[in-house]
Amino acid sequence: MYARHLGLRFFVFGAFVFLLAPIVVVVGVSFNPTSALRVPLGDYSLRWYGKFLATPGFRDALILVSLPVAIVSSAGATVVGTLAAIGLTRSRYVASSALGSILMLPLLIPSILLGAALYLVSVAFGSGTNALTLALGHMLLGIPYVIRVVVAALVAVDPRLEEAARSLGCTPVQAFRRAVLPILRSAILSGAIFAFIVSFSDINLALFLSGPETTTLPIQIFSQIFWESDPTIAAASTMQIVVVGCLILAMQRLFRIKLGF
Amino acid sequence: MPAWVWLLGPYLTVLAGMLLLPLVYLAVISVFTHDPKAFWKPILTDVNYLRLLDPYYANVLLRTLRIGLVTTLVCAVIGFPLAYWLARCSPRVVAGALFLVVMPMMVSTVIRSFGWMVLLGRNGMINTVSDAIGLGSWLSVMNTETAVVTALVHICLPLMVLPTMAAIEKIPVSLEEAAANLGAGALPLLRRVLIPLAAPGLVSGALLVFVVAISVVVTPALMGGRANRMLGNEIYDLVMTALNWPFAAAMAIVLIVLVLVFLGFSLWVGNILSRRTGRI
Repeated sequence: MYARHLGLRFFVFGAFVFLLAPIVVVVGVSFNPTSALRVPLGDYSLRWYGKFLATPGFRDALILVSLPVAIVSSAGATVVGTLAAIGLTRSRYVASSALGSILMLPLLIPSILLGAALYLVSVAFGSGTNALTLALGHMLLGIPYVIRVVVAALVAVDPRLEEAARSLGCTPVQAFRRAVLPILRSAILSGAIFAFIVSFSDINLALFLSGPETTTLPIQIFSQIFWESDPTIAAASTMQIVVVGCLILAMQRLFRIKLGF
Repeated sequence: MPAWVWLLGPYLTVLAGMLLLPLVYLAVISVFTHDPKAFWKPILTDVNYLRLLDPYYANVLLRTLRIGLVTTLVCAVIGFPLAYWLARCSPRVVAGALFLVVMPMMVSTVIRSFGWMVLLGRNGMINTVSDAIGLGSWLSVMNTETAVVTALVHICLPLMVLPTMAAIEKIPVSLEEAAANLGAGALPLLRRVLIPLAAPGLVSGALLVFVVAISVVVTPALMGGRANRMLGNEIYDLVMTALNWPFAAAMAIVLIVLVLVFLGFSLWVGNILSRRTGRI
């Protein structure tokens, strides 16, 4: 009723300015021709993108660490999360909301604690941290997102589809694979994208689990802010923003997933 | 083998191995004695928890709690109107608006804190612009708790808005119209109808916000400087630099206790808020 209220509109406009300001500023700084951290007025330059590509620290963090780790952890989270989502909606015993919330547990565990705990365990019982520990940790963070998206899609599937397939002679597994799975495809892909982004943006786990050989892009940006602040950081950040923005846009437009919880 | 074993089995295995086991390990070594050579030796002690009462660490603990609560409150105050607008605006607008809410949420927190440094710094954008139009560079907020909270509200706002929006969407518009017909203005409508019915969304939003806000490392390091360290910074240094695992573990356990206490608290507040509907 009050959605068109002028005061509310001003407030909402202000909130969006607040949400977008730091992102817009970072993108702006990346085009600054001088090494100052400010948004250029008038002349633009791509030199910091050149420096990004010429600096092994940044380039390797993106191409050799962040992207592969995000792909592996997203693949793992998608498989484990999709199976769990099917189990959750199909089982007689576990459809209760109590178990549902246990499955969402990783979202309520402070991620800093998860990072510290995984680090201590892998040093105490294993051979220390490597790219795999990092990917496994990120997988754990990504699974709840996959479960959310896939459960939402599964609940909306008409049960008569499966019954029809059964009555035409399919086994339960065949019926699910041929009648339901195709409908879930875009939800599963969106879950995979969510898991990818979670890994690609994470810093709290990576602080503990990434070593000198496995520095992720956010970690590299973080340490460079302390050591030498020039717009290369902004160029690196802009690449992250572009990747994340495009993926979310794809999810929204191609797969018609309604964003949100 | 029943179907649920191979459907839920992988996730339960992951949870047991990567969540339960590490947490139990933390809980166990938090009551063990620190040993510089082997990280810990299995001699029971309460020294790790008692050390949290030292003025310095008690201060860090209080600051973490305060920053977490203030961030949650500010997010609720800014987030509720935004969530209401998102829930009630036209379908054409909502897709774009949601993109603008979710996209910043998914960008790495380092990058967002970096953006705030560029904006709020002594020679930052706001001061430069203000100086250029003759108002002088008046803003000196960096390395204060306010700066940390500003960046944290930015990080956490979408976490509050999305569940609240989902809750408001479920409130029929006709209910608002009925309240207006009965003479309720905007404020009674908010107090007696919208907030009570949206309470579950507000509660889950508050929970998500609080968990994220008390477990940050990078944001206080970049925005708060040396004087505004939070539990996350201490845990990080104890694990990676000081190598005092038992003390770090005790702090981590305290972090979980904070989350549990807040869980109980927010459910209680949520109950009070939703009970208000009965008293129109």
